[in-house]
Amino acid sequence: MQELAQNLIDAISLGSLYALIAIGVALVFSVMGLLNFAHGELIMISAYVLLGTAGWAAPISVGAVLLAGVLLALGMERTAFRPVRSADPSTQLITSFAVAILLDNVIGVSVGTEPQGVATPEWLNQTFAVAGLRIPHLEVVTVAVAGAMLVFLVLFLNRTRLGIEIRAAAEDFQMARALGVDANKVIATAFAISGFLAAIVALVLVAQTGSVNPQMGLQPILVGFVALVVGGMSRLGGAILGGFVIGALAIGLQAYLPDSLVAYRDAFLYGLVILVLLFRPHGLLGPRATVARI
Amino acid sequence: MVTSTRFKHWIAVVLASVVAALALAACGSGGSGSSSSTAGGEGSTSEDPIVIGAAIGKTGLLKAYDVPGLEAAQIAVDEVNEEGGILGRPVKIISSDTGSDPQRGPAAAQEVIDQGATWTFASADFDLGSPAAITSDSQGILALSLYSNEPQWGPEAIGPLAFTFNTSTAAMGAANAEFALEEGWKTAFVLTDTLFTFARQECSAFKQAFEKGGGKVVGEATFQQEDPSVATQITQIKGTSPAPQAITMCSLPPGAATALKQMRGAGLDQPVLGSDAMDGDYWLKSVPHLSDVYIPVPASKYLDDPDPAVNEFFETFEEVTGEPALTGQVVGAYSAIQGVQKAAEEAGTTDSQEVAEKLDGFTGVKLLSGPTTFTVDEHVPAEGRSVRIIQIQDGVPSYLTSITPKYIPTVGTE
Repeated sequence: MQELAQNLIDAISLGSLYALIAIGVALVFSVMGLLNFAHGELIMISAYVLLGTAGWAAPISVGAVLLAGVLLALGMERTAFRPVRSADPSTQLITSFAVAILLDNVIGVSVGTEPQGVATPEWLNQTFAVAGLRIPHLEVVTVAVAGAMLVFLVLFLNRTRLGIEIRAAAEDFQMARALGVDANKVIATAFAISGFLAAIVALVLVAQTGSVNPQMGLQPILVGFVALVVGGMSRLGGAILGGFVIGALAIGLQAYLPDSLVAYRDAFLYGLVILVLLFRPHGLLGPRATVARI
Repeated sequence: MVTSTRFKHWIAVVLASVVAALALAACGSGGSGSSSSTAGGEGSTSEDPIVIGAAIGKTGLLKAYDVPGLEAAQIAVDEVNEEGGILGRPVKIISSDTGSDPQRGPAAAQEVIDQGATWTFASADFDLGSPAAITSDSQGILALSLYSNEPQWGPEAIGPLAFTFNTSTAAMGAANAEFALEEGWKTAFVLTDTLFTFARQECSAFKQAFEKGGGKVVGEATFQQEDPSVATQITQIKGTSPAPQAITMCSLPPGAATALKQMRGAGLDQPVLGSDAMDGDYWLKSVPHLSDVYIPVPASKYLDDPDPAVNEFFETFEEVTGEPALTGQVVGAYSAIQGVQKAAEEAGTTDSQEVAEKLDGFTGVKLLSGPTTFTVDEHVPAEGRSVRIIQIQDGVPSYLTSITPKYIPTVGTE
């Protein structure tokens, strides 16, 4: 019972991290139909900014990371994705691969490919106990930040003009444009928010792992995509649900698979994902039947 | 490389990782090649350089490990050339880039072979380096590794011309076990990172040697290099009864750093016995004030090795390259040059087949990485090797003691 509760706490923490990643990907996908593989590089480069600003006062360093995430996402949109916006979706996808490779190599050449340690505040990794359960401070921070971001997003998307325009564009991009929604502004905003989310993920990941390396965006982005597909690509709630489902499955399989099978955890994880998609091809929160966007 | 990796991963996701599992299984098996032809051995005059072609990861994941390995080999080559070369011929290293992608290994190996390589070097890891080595071996060309140490680097998985000079993973795991028992730690929890063969082998060797020496493995768990959290494994360790006196963790940074950071944060303060791939101080910032961690290595790079020649080498390395070596393992690459020099001079030729026969006869040959013994079947040194135990105390690594394992377990690809 104790162990189950402990695993549940860990699953919620991992799930909220995955949800943050999935929402970042989902926002851009919903407004421009682009699965941005370079989202992982937003996370990676934000993490390197944290490495670069390591000796600075914590609020300034964190501010620099968040700013870097937003600026990089905006720069990416302006220079790489805007020129191919009306191109075939596969062209956009390949463009995002190209951006990802370029950024990986820029970091590899300029900073180095070996993992580098980043000192983070020690109290983040310390734990406190509640009824015998071990709760790392970082898990509380992660869940709180994820929760705050969700509230912010819901308010932003429902209460502000720009947010409503984003939702309109996500619903029907051509119609929204015809009705006077500024496409450039809406898409740039979606990228900016996704960059901000990527920077938050970078902060959490570095606090959790204590290191940065050029490949560190790869695993999160894959999990983010899978979470998005599982939850349903057509709405943001799907990304959140998908993130928590994948987090819970990862922890559950690690904890409860027999020893001899636990090495194949990811095979089971993705096997279950396929199973979900067999019954719900458009994801858990997706419509039962519809035409896919891409 | 990144494109193909990403694409592969994406496909693997869709195909429920089955493909990935098969690919991994395939990695473990290798072709053994014929060894008939000669390259560079015939018709060369004393003026022609002996060309060593390195098909290694000059970019990507392995760059941080392969490039220092090649620099160590270059230091040995420079010293050999100052003394008049091998068999009176100067030695030259050329290289091609695999991009750290094992699938590009064969093409990279072919590139240096086409440029006249007499012998070749492949990457410092069995999983990532063996494809290049298989290409070289199958064309009758000596396939050295910079500093892989999986026992499969040889006839078993590559071919009769594959050799490496870094101390075997089996000896590393066994040294950890004997060290733990000497310290009086009788129970251990074993945590294995399943991504790399060397890590699985070191933990397997540890378990065998630890239990043979009277220790008891009280629990086991696995994790994966890229896991952002090892919370579940921490719960398992905490739930183990009796509580283990030591934790053995076979992995490499950054995954190893992540796990240590979270384990220490969660109050698991037992001594941790790590892997040779965790040597070096570049990752220690991840876990401030880390203490009570022990790393087995072939040589201490901290200028405090009991062998003065090792300290001299690491001083030279820093002078030549401008920075300290990343890990002590690079002595393997230096020793590879020492080893082939001795074998070629004994054979009186650079012919790979004949050099390999001389290498097969090495018994306790003294090289920088330690006494080196090969047999027809074993091309990774283990017997008689003294493993240095590096202690990390308050974030500072230094030499603690040496262990020459009395019992070397047998490990497969696990």
